[in-house]
Amino acid sequence: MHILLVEDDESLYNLYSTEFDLNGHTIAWHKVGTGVIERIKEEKPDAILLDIMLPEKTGLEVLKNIKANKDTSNIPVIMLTNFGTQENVHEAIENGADDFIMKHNVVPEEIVEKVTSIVNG
Amino acid sequence: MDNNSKTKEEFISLMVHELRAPLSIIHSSADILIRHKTELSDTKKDKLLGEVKLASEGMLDIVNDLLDTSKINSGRFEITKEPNNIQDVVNSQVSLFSNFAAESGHTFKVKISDRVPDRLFFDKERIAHVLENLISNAIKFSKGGEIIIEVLPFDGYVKISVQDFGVGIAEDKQIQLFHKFKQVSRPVDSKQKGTGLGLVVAKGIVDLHGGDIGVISKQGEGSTFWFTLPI
Repeated sequence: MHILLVEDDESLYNLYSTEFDLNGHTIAWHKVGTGVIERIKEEKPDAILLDIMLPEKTGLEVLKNIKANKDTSNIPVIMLTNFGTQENVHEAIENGADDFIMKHNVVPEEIVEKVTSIVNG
Repeated sequence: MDNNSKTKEEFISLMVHELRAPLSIIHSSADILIRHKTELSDTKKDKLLGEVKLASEGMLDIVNDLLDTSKINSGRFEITKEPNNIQDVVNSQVSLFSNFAAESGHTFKVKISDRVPDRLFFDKERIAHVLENLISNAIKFSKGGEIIIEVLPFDGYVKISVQDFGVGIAEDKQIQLFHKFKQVSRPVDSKQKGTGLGLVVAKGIVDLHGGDIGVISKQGEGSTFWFTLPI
């Protein structure tokens, strides 16, 4: 699989890229909320891990853009949240997110498992 | 729940959140290192250990600030005032931050007046901690650009100020910055990190020196944090 990680925390990128790499997958890293659609078109990822709190544009806005664009709307999007507050999760799911992960509650191995299961249907 | 209890609940929630993020980095790094120890290259292992170190340092800072805040509030916080040179403290903090500032696109401009006395009575380590806090906030809350550090004699005091040209702080939030349990003004999902305790500790340290601390800020234009030490 090839994954696009949209997340500004470099530590999380280091952890996720290591775990995905060890499982035979690749990760492209995008650090801000702007320019995501263009990056998706370049990378053609199998799934997108999208942080809900991003610089320049929120993850929810980015999600809406992804789902409104016919070239990107079919790619599974998994939201990364800190606390997974009810509003965040509901709004993300209502706007087409495939799932969400409370990033500080799981180890990267579980993220690989979740993304794999979503991509493989 | 009364307002005080609610604010304390919010404060605890923020602290838990701030501690959980680095703890999760440590946990995840250890998990990968243990499960993949034979497959990981030395470079990858070093990178993960670097993450553990960085995250644990962040946690230590938070715990130390919590302990200091508790000591300040119970009157058990102590300082040792000795003759020291404030110019040295400023220059040494600027030097410590120089690499970090360059990486984030910041430059320092240091202006120290010739009229500042060579010797002032203060706790060097504690005052360095105050400056460290103000400089790191200036870097954190501005997207690159200049940070001006100025040291001036001012009406029987020496005034040390740190000015950034970043996001600034709304007027109604400024007064809350230096008070325990009052700094929670953002949702837990906010991107801005930090407990806000650093400024509470800074105020405690400056108060014990007989000085004052404050901020002048305008949203969108930047902030000037300043403190004074008696001459």
